[in-house]
Amino acid sequence: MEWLIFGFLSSWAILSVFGVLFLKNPVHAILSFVSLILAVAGMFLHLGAELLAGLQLVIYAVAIVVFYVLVITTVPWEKVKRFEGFYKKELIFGFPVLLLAFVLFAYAVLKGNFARVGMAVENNPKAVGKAIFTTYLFPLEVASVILLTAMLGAILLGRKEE
Amino acid sequence: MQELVSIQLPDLRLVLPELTVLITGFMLFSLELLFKRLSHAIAISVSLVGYLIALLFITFMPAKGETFFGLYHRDGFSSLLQFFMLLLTMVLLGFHLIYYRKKRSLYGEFYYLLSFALLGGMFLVSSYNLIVLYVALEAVSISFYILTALLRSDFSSKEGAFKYLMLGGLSIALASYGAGFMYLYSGSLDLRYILTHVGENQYFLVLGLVLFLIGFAIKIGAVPFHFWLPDAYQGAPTPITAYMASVGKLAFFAPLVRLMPYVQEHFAYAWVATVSIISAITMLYGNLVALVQKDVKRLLAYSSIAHSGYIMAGIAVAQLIGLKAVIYFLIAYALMGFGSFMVLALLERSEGWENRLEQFSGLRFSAPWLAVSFMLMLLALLGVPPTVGFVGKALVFMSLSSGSLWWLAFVMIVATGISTGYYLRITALMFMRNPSTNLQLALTGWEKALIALLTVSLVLLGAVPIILWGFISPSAENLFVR
Repeated sequence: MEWLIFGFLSSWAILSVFGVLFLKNPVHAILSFVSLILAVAGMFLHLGAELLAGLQLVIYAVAIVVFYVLVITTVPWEKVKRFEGFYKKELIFGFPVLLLAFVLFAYAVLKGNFARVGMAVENNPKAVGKAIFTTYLFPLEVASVILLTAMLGAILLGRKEE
Repeated sequence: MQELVSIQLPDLRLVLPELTVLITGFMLFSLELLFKRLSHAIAISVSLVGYLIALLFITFMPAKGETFFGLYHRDGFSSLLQFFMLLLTMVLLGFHLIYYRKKRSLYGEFYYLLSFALLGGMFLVSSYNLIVLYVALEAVSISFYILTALLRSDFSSKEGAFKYLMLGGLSIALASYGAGFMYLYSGSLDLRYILTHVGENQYFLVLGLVLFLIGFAIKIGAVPFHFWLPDAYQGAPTPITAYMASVGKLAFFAPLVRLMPYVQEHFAYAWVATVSIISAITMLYGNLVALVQKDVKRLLAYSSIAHSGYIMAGIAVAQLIGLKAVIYFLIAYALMGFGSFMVLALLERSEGWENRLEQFSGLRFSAPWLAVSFMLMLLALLGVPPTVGFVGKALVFMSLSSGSLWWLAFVMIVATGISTGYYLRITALMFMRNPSTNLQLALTGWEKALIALLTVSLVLLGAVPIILWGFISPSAENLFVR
């Protein structure tokens, strides 16, 4: 049963990825990106990481996709270069690199020393919240300064010169 | 609820300097929001007072230890680097106003962006934790990207900032990829634990360490990862270039320095090979390319790359003497680099000055004292006794010989020989030619005093190195205590 769910979710995810790559209309591409996010969120749920699934939906499916749609609607599409078939040279160079990265990653996942898997699965929103507001409070606070700086910079550089 | 309350509260006394800088930043932020046209005198004095208080906290409250559950670590090393960061930021605030006014790029946001950059740097020098290092690295870098782009209607400033943004993003991605492998190896995020941990799959550690090093090599501008540096340094407003070359270098080198005492037998070969090869290429390439530059700002940017190479040569020697040499050279370069870029910032204020090499000819007639200070700074960068650059280079050379990295010491001598070509050429142009352009330069009393202070400190710290050594030596030994 577990393998069935995993097989369904992963084939769904792979199909959506190809949709993002090959659909010509940008809005369709975004829609299949949303479908990819749903598939990944489903995988997280299936692994018992309900907080991660929820965050995936809230942050990616809502915030980031809305942002993408906003960008797409402001781009003047008649000026944009159209899809011109496969990039063969890039494929030849890119494929070995991707394969190497994949093999490395797969090996790391299989053999790596993950810290105590299965400890935080029970009630993980509470566990994550506790970790963020006690042990990892310090980086969280620094991250808030980063976000403030980045926002200020975006406003400052995007502003029209007087 | 009960267990949340029982958790011990972090010891905020240790982070008082950082808290002061943070509060200063937010005060500047809210003042700027409240008063639409905030007077620059007020902004400068608020920043100066804040940084001065932080400086006093560092000097007179030498509390040491760890807090925030081991994520924040204050020791002699971090206090020393933070002291110089704060000092250089304060000196910068004495210089920037007229430059920015001349370039019509005076933004009120400058002040708190500067304080957030400083804050990120102060965090970066005081942690062993990979997550904190990542977050602090982002904090410094994002402030630097914005500060680099803040030159009104100047294309090269935007271009430099964009290149910096792209390669900076790549560097952080690589460093966090490496951090991921280190985590997989040991199951911990603390660098001290990771590097002393003995487990299976040690190539995870080596791979992670090499990727982490490459990520930081991009940030410090080591060859072959330096492509952003000349463009960003040339495009940025010159006071910000000085800031990146001093405070930026201090911050970005600190995590590598913190790694040095934990280099163990079983991966020392990876460390020595990676660092020494990068260092040798960096020294030679930086100096050779600087030799053919016609633009002095770009020339000094390449000289900054070469100095990253010298510092990395010290890092390759993972021993106590190497550690001391690296800290000395870092502080020395922060002072020299800051001073030399600041002289350019002063010169750029005069009409028609474009930092071209031939414009420096006969500078001694139009600005005699500035020419003398610039000459002393260039001689310090070259490493002539009794300046601070000489002591730094001598210490790195000594540590290379005690670590029996003779080939690297030889490369360093050759690189220094090459660098004579361009440092002495500028000096000769300034003092042995007749002036080509008519230079009008009006310096305020503050600027004269600060340039004099920087020059005197370069000579004084070189002639009496024990002043700095007295602080460096115990803090370096403290880093080596497990």
